[in-house]
Amino acid sequence: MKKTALLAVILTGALLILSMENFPSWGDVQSPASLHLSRHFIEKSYEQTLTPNLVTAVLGDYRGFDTMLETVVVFTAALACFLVIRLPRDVCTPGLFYYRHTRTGLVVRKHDACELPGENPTFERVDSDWPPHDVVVVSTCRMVIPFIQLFGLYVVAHGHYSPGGGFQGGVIFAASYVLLAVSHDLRTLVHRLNERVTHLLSAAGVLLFFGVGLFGMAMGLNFLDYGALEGVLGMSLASGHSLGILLVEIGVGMTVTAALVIIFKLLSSRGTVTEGL
Amino acid sequence: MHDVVLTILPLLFGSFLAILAGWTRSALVYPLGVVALALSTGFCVKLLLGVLSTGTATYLLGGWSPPWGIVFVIDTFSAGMMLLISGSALLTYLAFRAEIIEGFAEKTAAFVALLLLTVAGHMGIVATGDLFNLYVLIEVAALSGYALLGYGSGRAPLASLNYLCVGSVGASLYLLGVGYLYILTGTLNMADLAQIMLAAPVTASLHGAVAVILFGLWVKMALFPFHGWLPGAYAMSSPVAAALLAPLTTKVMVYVVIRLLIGVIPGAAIPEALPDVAMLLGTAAIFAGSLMAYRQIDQRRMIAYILVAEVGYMVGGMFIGNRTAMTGAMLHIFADALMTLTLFLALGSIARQRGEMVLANMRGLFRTMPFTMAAFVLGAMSMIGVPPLFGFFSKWYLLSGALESGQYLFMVGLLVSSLVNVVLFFRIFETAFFDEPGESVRDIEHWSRVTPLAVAAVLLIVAGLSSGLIVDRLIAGIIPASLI
Repeated sequence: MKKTALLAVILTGALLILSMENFPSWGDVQSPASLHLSRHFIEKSYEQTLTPNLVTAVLGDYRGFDTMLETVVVFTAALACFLVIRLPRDVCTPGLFYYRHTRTGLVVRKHDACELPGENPTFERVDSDWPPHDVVVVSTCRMVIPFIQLFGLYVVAHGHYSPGGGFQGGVIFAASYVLLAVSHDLRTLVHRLNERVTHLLSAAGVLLFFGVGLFGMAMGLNFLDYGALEGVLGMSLASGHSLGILLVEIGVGMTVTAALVIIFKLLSSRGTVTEGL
Repeated sequence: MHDVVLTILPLLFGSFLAILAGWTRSALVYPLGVVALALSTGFCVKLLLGVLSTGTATYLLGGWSPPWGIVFVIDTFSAGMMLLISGSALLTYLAFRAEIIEGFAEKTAAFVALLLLTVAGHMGIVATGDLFNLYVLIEVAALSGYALLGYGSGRAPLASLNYLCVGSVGASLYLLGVGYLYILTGTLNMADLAQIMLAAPVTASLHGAVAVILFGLWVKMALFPFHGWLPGAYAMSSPVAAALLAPLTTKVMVYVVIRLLIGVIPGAAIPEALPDVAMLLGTAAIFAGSLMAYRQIDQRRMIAYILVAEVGYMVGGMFIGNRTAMTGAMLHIFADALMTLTLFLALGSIARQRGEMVLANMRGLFRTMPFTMAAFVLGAMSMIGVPPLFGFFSKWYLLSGALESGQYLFMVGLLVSSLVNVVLFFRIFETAFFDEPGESVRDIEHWSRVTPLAVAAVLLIVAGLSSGLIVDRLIAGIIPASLI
């Protein structure tokens, strides 16, 4: 079986390489790809969208509908994880629960007690495979996390001028939350960003993108036509497009951050979103 | 003027709102889905009427004209497909109200959102006029589909994972082919691409690109021998997901191939051996699908294998290379979707009362659930190809087309699979009609489940009787005059 599979892979690879024989050579200025669409984008996109980064202009504006659907794909991924691996709230795993008495630091073990009744200030839940607190790790991460988040915001906002944008910035922002969970524990992360907040945030991100599109329709233009932003705050047509790209990038960033945090929480806690790692 | 895009926007909007509602007011989630699907269906009707009177509709997304921006292009055939997709999704959604609200508990919102997204994805695939946008929509449709099929008891997640792996391979091959075409032509817009490809030199690379794209789409549509994912995915999952996706996914992929063949890829760019390979695979799919359907115990799995054979019908029909057969393949998309919908809706109702869908559990159904069984009989008769049901007419076109071109093996396949279907379905009818229901059986037929099912079943007759009209108004104008 393995040999047949290997043979099939080699055969397919050989066929694919053979089929590349008529490709234009690397970097050929006369190739169809550099003559047809790219020329128009290179000549016109700055004038039309006031966005020096051509890639952002193409992704965010000319092919904005693709980008919206890609954001929907990220949103779908989070929903899919939630639907498939989230355990029902009344299921208790792992079946053993540890609580620490806050005053004395004494840890007690209980069966079948996911949640202590009511807010209980004297006991706090700790992970069953809980590693001891490490002051160095915790304080270092505490100092680093705000800077990571600031950098994430910068990447989202600076996509017009340099490589970046909503997807990349969103991932960096989500990484700061993952670091929080790794350095403290998952419960700290859930306390900061609970399930409800992350789900609402992921939907709000795509809604912002969608809303920019609907605004175009409300102003009598086509769906996702950022030209509708002309005249808002006294903007010209091109800077309206630039603002439109910024708005949708912020939406993308929100959805990507929320979706990655949702997926991380579900995977690391085996679907319980209470403890893990 | 926004009709084209308004068919899809309510579904996307509805899915985002469903998540917001799910975490704030969960009672609103189900009605939200009904409103979104009903709006979408309404706009599809409006769009179809508009396209019938004024001709092909185009919509520039973002206001950028092609080839720089993305366009939706709707002709009569695609408008019909859009209505088919949204309408069948609406019927499924209404029929399975109880399952959707009770069966998913706190996950109802996520399920409804994914359901709306997958319907939006399938409709977008039909509407778009851009090859890369098509890929993104395939991703949206497929990813949400995997999740819907993966939620279920027993082996459903495993079957869905299997589907995910195979489906991703298919989608990647399609994307690879699109990349090839972009390198060779510098464009992604279908109309623009068709122009450039007519003038482009026919090279091995062009043939390679076309072959890779078609190959990827064949994997996605479960053409034999790439059908491995289909029976498991549709037989193991929850009845809602199966009834939603079984009429859509394979048919929409067949639509994409037909769209590419008749509107984008010129005849010279298709490798010479490819139509023969396709005919061979299509015929093999019919025989293999029928044979394997015969061996199944679970009735849902049996219908899934019949679907494999039906894909063979359509692939064969489109590659025979004459007008009649192409008409048959296009008509069969509608027919197959409608009868699959009817059968899966009926089986869903039966499964709710009787549990596992094996033959022994279907005793006495005609007495206890007469309306459901009547609809099931109509669906089954259509699958067999009994006039005046819809399935007969498309099969007739396919048979005559095959006869015109002398594809006798394909004809034999069509007839054999009809005969096998007779055996398969009469086995069920016999058990359900003659055997006594057990003592403990308390079947309930509720009007809310029977009505959508009855609509689907009656549509089989109505569409069958008006199939001449469908061919004249929706299909005939789309097939290029060069295809005789």
